[in-house]
Amino acid sequence: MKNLTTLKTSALLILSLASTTVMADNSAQHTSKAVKHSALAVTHGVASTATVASAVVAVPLIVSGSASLAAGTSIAASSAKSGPLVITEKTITVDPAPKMVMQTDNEK
Amino acid sequence: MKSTKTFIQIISAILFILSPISSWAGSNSNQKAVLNPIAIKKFAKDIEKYAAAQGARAFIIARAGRPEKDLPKGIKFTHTAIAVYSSITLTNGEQVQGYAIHNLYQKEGELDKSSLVVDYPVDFFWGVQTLKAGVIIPTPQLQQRLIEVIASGKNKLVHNENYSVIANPFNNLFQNCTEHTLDIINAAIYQTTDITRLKANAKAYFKPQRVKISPFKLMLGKAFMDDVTTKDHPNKIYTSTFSTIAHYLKKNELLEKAIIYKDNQVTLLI
Repeated sequence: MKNLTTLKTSALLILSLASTTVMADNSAQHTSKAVKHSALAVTHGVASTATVASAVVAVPLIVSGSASLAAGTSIAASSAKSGPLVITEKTITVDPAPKMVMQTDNEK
Repeated sequence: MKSTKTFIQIISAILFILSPISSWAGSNSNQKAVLNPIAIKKFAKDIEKYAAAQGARAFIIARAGRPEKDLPKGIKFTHTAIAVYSSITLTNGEQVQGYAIHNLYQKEGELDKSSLVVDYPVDFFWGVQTLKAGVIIPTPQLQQRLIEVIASGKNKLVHNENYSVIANPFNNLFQNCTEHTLDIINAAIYQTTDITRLKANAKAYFKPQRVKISPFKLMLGKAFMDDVTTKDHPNKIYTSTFSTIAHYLKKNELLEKAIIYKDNQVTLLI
């Protein structure tokens, strides 16, 4: 009986620990996103010409005239038919979470 | 004192037993950087440049959130998504060309649910523990169809937000990142978002990976991890993986190239 109680207690504690881990992980995730932007900003100075920029929107590029698409499709045509594609030297990233943006703005 | 020691031993044992399962659950969007940010940034750009040099307008990309030795047998990567060559508008209004990555990620704080998120290579590789990438380049015709599915938003129609890390690709009860990628591929091939038809075709032509985890570990996983369930598996556990997608495309003559990129070296996957 005592063993059963111990086991149940253990299970409950593990569950609560697991929840805590998840929650801690989440806050760490928010922090990590802000840290990512800071870290990338630092590498900007270190890594020669390569800059870091946030993206607003990305529209897929297709070969011009290669597809008939339905109206409302978000797509753009590129002139390159085949072969190597041009890639920006910039490092593109998503913006931090709204919460982090507001916190950063408030600190200014 | 004795009961405390026993308790710690039980917790340690359970965490140890669950570690192979938890190490696999890699579909998170916002992880902490473990590696040097400069190295991550360079690696992400190297992958972009590799794919661009191949002329890939759409390709399947995978990352290894954990070293391969920590993953279940047969699993090489922990997260899979589709990268699409795009015109990217920056916050200053400038337009540049690069790859946008279309992901299914687990929701923060709700690991049994997922959402579709677009990010970029440096975001994709940010939390990895090893700088290793998988790249599957489909044939140009399939690339074009993948772009059409994503550009038209049909990828959202084959999204199931109920997440399981070991989702069965033959039904639509749960979905993980790799199964979502497979569903988009099949939506592109069959030009339909009819999930019943997509699943029937997957069952007929796609060979998933058998996942060998002991029933005891699975029982604990189901009990303690929100993103582990076997409700969608009739018996043995089979799931979709990056490698099984590569084999599927190759078998159907839809594969141009499948490689592993690591340490500046390209190794053929198949």
